[in-house]
Amino acid sequence: MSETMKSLKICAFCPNTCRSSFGANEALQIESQTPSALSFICLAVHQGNLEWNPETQDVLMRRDAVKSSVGKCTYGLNMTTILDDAVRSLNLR
Amino acid sequence: MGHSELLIEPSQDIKDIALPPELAKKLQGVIGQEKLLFSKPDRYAYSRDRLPYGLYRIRVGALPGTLPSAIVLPSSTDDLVKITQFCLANKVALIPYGAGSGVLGGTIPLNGEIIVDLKRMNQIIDLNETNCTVTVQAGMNGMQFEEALNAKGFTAGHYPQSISMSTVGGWAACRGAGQASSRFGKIEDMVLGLKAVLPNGELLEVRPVARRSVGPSIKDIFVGSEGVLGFITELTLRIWKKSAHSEGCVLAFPSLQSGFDALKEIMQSELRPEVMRLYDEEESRQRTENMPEFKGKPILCVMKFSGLKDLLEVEKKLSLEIAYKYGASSAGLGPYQHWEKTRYQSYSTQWQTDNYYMDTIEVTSDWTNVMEMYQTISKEIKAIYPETYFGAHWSHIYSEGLCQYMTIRLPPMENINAHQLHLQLWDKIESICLSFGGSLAHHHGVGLLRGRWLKEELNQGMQILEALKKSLDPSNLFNPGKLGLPLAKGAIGLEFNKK
Repeated sequence: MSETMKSLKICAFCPNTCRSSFGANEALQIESQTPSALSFICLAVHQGNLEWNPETQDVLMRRDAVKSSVGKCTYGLNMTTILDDAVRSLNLR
Repeated sequence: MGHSELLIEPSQDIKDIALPPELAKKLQGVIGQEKLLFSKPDRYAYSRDRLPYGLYRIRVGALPGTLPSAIVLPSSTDDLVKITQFCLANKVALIPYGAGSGVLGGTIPLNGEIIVDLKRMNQIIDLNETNCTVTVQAGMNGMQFEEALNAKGFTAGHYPQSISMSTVGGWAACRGAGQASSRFGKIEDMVLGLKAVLPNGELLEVRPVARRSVGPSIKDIFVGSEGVLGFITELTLRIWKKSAHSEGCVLAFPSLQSGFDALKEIMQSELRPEVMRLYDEEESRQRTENMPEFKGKPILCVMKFSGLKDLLEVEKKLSLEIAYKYGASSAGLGPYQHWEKTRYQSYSTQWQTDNYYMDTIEVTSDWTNVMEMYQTISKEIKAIYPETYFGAHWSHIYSEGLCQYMTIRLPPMENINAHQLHLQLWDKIESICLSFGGSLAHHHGVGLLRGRWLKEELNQGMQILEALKKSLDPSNLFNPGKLGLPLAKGAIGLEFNKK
């Protein structure tokens, strides 16, 4: 398994221990844009549960909460980089 | 009951029950497009919470339930009233949602319910320094709430392991506990008042007062209601001045029984350690490797004292005297420091990311039965499947009894076999707990998974709960199928709540 995929799994199954790093503004208070949710969505594309289409691509670009989590991940992951890698590899499929 | 009956065809299909276009349009008119999410990836992300059974399914490409049909992101009580009226008028079910950190499946959609994410309602409304109370909206993040209180010199005294990834409303909805519950109580001891939107769209207010004598506590109908009786929108909580002083200590006990005896006596002597954590031999061993103090005294106990310096010193001295009387020795602070460092980490990359089947089960026992209950569970778990990891600790300690928090873990195996064993283990633990007179849940709540035991726990009280539900929500639109209450018609058959 690639490092990116391994990191996506760690993040997707994590309950967002970084959650309190997200500010209280409205844009960040969407569960489906938390790091764990975006990782979960990427895995779903790999598993064939979601299509790699503009709708999914748009959702994966909502990165405000992910940016806030950088440096706050309990497990030392930089989810901005990892999600960028994941999106790149999905684009190449 | 055969265990296979508990498993209703786990399917790899993703059940997508979308809102009919005319209803989606109507909902947009009611709440506004900017507060709605309809895309499939968004709904996919909201289809789970942290129910371990759900994780086992997700790892193989399935989901625990269905996709929700829509996500609503309200930012006010007015929004919630509008959503409630819409759902009532159109007979659409909904699920109140905080941060989805529950481990019993309390927010899993089973029939395309609309998820109502309360996290935009996340402000502190009032901090009353005279009364030592705080009024907060239900969707506020737990850690952000505690940090805001700390900045003013206060604490809520509620520090669940999930504090960073849960909401204040979620704490109340599932009747949660923090790591300092022995000192400050559980959330039900902290809630003084609340506001809610009822399933008929009316507003409920339980005004916050110190104590009252006006019949049964309406507040307590909602604390622990897990979203089946309406939306909790606002809570007023008791708070405390934040302690300037704290001190940890580590003890090695010769046996589990000696540890129980000491903790019981400490609590019954009216001493108030902020934290007391006693670990069984299995969990002690993992935390005390290479510590000679534990040779011959294999049971680890971690304590934390806090408060006014003089009081802290007296409480520590008296507590340690009791512990020493039961054969304990003081040990190096390593295990205390490790606990402090990791106390809010509730996710194991080792056991949860990979293909193990891990779960935690917390029950309540009295002092009379705790040792025998622990020994019986420990033995019976191994009898079901010898390779099961089983460890326990006791960290919510009261004068009458305590919470036994257990970790079970099955090794990698076929999913279907693991599902059966996992449910067998749950059945065994809950039935042993009930046979010893305990409660089947201390602070994780009931959700979906524990529903089928609730009648045994509540006996005739279940009728009262059902009557309340029928009276407040006759169409069964608020979080149907949770808290041991009936599923909605057409809901998928994860029949956890049937026995």
